[in-house]
Amino acid sequence: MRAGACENSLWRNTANRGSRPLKLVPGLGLIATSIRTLAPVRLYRPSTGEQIARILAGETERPTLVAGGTDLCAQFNDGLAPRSLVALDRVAALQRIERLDGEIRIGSGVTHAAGRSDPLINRYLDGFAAAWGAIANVRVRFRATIGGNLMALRPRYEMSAILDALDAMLCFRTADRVASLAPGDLWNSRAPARSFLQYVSVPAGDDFIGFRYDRSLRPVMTLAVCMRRSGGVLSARVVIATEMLSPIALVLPRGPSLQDLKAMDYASAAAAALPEHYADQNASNWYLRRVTASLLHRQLKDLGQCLTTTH
Amino acid sequence: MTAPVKLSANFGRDARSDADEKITGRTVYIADIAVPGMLHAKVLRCPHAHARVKQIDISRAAAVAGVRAILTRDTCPAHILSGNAAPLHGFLIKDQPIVAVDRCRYEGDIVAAVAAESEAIAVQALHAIKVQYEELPFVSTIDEALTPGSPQIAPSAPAGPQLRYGPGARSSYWPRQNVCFEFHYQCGNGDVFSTCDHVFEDEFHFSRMNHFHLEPFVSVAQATRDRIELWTSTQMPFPLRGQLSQLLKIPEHCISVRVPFVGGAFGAKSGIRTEAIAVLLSMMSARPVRLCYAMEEDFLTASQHAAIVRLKTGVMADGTLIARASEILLDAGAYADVSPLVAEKAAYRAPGPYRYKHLDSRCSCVMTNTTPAGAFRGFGGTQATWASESQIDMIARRLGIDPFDMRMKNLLQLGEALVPGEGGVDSDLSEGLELVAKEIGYGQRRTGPHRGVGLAIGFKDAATSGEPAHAQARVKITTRGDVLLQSGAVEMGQGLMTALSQVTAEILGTSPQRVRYAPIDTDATPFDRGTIASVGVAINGKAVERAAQSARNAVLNFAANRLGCLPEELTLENWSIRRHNETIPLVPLIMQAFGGRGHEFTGEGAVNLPADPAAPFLSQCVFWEIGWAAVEVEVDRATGRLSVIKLVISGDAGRAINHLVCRGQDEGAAAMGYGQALFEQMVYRDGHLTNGAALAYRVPLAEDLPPEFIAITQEQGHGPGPFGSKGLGEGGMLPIASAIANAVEDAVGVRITSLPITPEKILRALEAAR
Amino acid sequence: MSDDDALTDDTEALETVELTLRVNGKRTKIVVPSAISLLELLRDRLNLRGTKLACSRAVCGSCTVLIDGHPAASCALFAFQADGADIVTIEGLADKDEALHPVQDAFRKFSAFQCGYCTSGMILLAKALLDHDPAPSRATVVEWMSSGVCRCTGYNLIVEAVLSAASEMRRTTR
Repeated sequence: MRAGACENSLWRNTANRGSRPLKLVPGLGLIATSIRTLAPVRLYRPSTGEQIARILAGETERPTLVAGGTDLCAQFNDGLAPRSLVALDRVAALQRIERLDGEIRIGSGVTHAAGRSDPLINRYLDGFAAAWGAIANVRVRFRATIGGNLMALRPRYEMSAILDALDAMLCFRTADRVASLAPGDLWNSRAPARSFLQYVSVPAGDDFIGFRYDRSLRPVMTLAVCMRRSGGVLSARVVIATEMLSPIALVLPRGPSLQDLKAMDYASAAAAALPEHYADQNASNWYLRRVTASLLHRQLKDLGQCLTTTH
Repeated sequence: MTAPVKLSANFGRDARSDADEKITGRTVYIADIAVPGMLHAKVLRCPHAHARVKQIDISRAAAVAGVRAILTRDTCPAHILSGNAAPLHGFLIKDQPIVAVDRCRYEGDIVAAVAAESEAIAVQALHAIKVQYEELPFVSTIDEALTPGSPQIAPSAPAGPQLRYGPGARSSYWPRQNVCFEFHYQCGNGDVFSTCDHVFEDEFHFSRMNHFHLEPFVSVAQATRDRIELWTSTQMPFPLRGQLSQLLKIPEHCISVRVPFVGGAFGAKSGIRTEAIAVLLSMMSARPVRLCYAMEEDFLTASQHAAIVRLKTGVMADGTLIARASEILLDAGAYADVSPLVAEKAAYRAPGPYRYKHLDSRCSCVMTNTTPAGAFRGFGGTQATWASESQIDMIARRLGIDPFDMRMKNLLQLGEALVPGEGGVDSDLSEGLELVAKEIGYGQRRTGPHRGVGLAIGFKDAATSGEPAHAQARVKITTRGDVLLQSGAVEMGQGLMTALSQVTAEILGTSPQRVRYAPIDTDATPFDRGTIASVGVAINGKAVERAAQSARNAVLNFAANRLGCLPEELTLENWSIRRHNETIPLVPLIMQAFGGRGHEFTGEGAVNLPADPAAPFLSQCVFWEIGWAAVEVEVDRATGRLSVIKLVISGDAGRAINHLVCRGQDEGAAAMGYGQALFEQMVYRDGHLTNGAALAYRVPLAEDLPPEFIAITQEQGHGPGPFGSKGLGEGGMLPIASAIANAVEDAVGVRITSLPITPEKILRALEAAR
Repeated sequence: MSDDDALTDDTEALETVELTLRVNGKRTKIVVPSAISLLELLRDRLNLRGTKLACSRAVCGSCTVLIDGHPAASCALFAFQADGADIVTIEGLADKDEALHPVQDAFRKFSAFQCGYCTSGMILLAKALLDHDPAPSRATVVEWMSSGVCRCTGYNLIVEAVLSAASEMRRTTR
């Protein structure tokens, strides 16, 4: 596990995300804004990451970044009205996937469709490609990007939970520096000012056993689990998410690890580690704990097959 | 029953009449209409569940370049005010202003409207309006609204017109706080409860859905003080004309309401929505105005009634039903809309298709500070069926009787009346139940553990409320045999245009491709009371049939006259006259008679169902619309997750005018019921709608429907429409939720009595049962 | 990740953009505001009204067009994002002799529509599927068609129409 991973969850109930469509102008009323009602916008079309950073450094009012744009139209309906846009589609570097130092680096502009079929991801991160290829729908997957999915900060979007379980790091860049964030930190608004998400790096070394993503109970809840073996010791990182709550990683108290426990006992212990406050209008904490235990048990057993077949 | 008719070989199998335009994207919906000089309107909505509007300052908004008119309570044109009072609209209870007057009653209630050169400018102007609200306490559930001491939503309690009923029915306005209307139906003697072996009381909760029609509410109005030309997405062009006439003090014949195609409605488009504002802004700006809501605004305009249904059912040990008392509370939202009529029907439909000795049904419309609830596919029948068909199974199991057997024992027979004075059932209910039960494999061993099957029957009187059903139609045939069909029935997807065109074609001996359904314009189209209640094919169908017969008679009379014979000797086929073995083309005959400019033959037809003082609603229903459903489910005991493996829905079309249209109506209705059963609902928190947008509000997608999903169209032949037909489109929605709940009980022994049937509810029930 | 060397410095802001795109086979050059949506470009500037606006959130698919062969929600795209692309709308499906595409024929034959508002999007989605996979399983058809919302049909007839079109297209290309 990486240091600094954030375990908190948040009730996402801010005025411009999720729970309030239409633009709420405080003290005034609700207005149906949309992409059609935008005032004229200044458009930047950079072709390198360095150019992006320079534009962000130069603009006083934070520009809106556009990758695929799939979530942006919803944000316009929710009231977002940017004065400037930075189109990322011409920055080829953001669309690359490469393997470096035991990590797979996925450019923030990689679409879900491209990620699903990428040979490196399929080879080194068993289960991740299938999960990535299951989110949203076929049409959206052709256009929507991993970066857009993350930066939209909508709890119902799934890459954050998936990448959190994979121990990924989100690499941001500004004009003069780079900064890495765990996926959980993004929910606490910790992306540096005037930065853009350059790539996501997922550890893909020999310690990686497998990854499973269970979305059978979506939108009520989803479960992501990544199994690794380091120094001969098996461990799992389990992340739960719901439609309305940002993902939460389940941290077991110190004690027997996955190595020592049977899958069912581990699953029960992990479910018990779900904080009591983690519940939303669709699912009570009681229910989330129960199904976490059931689904995690099933997925650990499935991952256990990987152990016997590959090790 | 209509005598069997010999129909042409391909009858019922033609493509839809609107196929050409819909598959090429050429359909013109109101959302596509643009007229020169058109302005764009946007509205400002109250962000509070309940608030007094203290002050509205539009001075800065009016100064925004490109703004042409701003409508608020202060700027409303003087000529439409009644004294100092702003006009109000509604169906029976007229309680809804065009824009807010003293108070906003729900989050989304409209305070102001702006017409400008572009949507962007209109929005800019809205930002510049200053509104001072004083927030008021609000109620957002039925229970809150009925709690003594809670805020009154409509303290002035405006009543509607005195309603008349036949035996057993009565109603009242404002019987108690926050209840705008209550309907009561009763027959038989309540003493029979004491003769029952068992009396079971159960309570059911019904969720609230949104129509989610893809074409939004949209109007394009070109209006002056004396004349209105209005294109609008509505199901009720003529009633709308009447409402606008009254509201805006313009004679009806100076109002032309035009409806080409509607992109989905499901009941939502049955009242004033965008029309009044668009018209007023047009008057005020002297320009055409387009007002088109965003989908998020549709959620703040109309919705389905959530409900609490309490059933008290008396039954004998052998399963014979004796008596039922029902109490239904509908969540009517912030304005009455058509809720009183829904209340009438929810109560009336509470018994289901069974024989009782005594019925006592009461339904109240409870006002809450939420989106107004109004007409929604099923119209009270959905709420009633959820409760009634669930309880039948619950009672059967408590008595140790198979739910299928219990139904068969009590189902009304063909021709038997539900209640005294009502028309007899015109479908064989048992036959339909056997059909779906067989298709689901009822009584056979389940193919896996935790699997179960459930049955349910949706049963709905197809009747337009208020007066006996009525429709008119006109058929015009040109020299060359091209047919124009004029009828006020709105094509909103249900295929009515196709059905009526096919009836016409069949009568005239021509192909449906030669019949064109004229776009509706209230100036020229024959009068119609609104496309609702699934009665179109029966009522408009009958009017069209008569109009086509009348046109045919005109042609045959003309030909007989020219040929020197009797019209009875002639038939009309492919725009030719057939006399014995001779075929005489009509075009030359017409040209000879009338010269170069030719002629047009016109036929008109109307249908008026008779009033009947012995019927509870003063006329018998047009027909009975029934949906038989059978469902197989599997429950994951570890998570409560429900998989529907197979869903069978069947309706009786009487005689299918178009087979694929009939099938599509039942499948579409069932899909809507399915969504409501499992997940679809509007969710309020603290008076605020939390999921009023696409994605957050989940509607069924192709992947959500069961892997086996079958619609069987029966043709039992007893309908009153052309060739024995009757309508479909609502019956298929009614039984789905209860069939699923029944299947869940069959599978794992737990009963869910509130919608949606979620995995958590099932898991909790399984826990409680252990 | 290393940046490519850029030939030009693309850090200038534009309030209007000049776009060159191919729409239904016709090369089109047009100057538009930078933040106009592709849907607005098609409907209001090019008068192609067969593509519909419904949810405005890229959810319902009524606004679906094909961009370089892939289905895309045109309400959720800026027009500039389609610069240089090959766009097909419902108006472009019939061939130059006005014969309908097999998917359109199948939709007619199966009555795979009711109100028709989602139909343009559904037809284009199906065409993209069949261009991508000429012999899809029913499960694949269901997966693809779940990229659009239909409120009227319950989807069965749509799925049957697409499978029928697939079979017809395979038959006629042999």
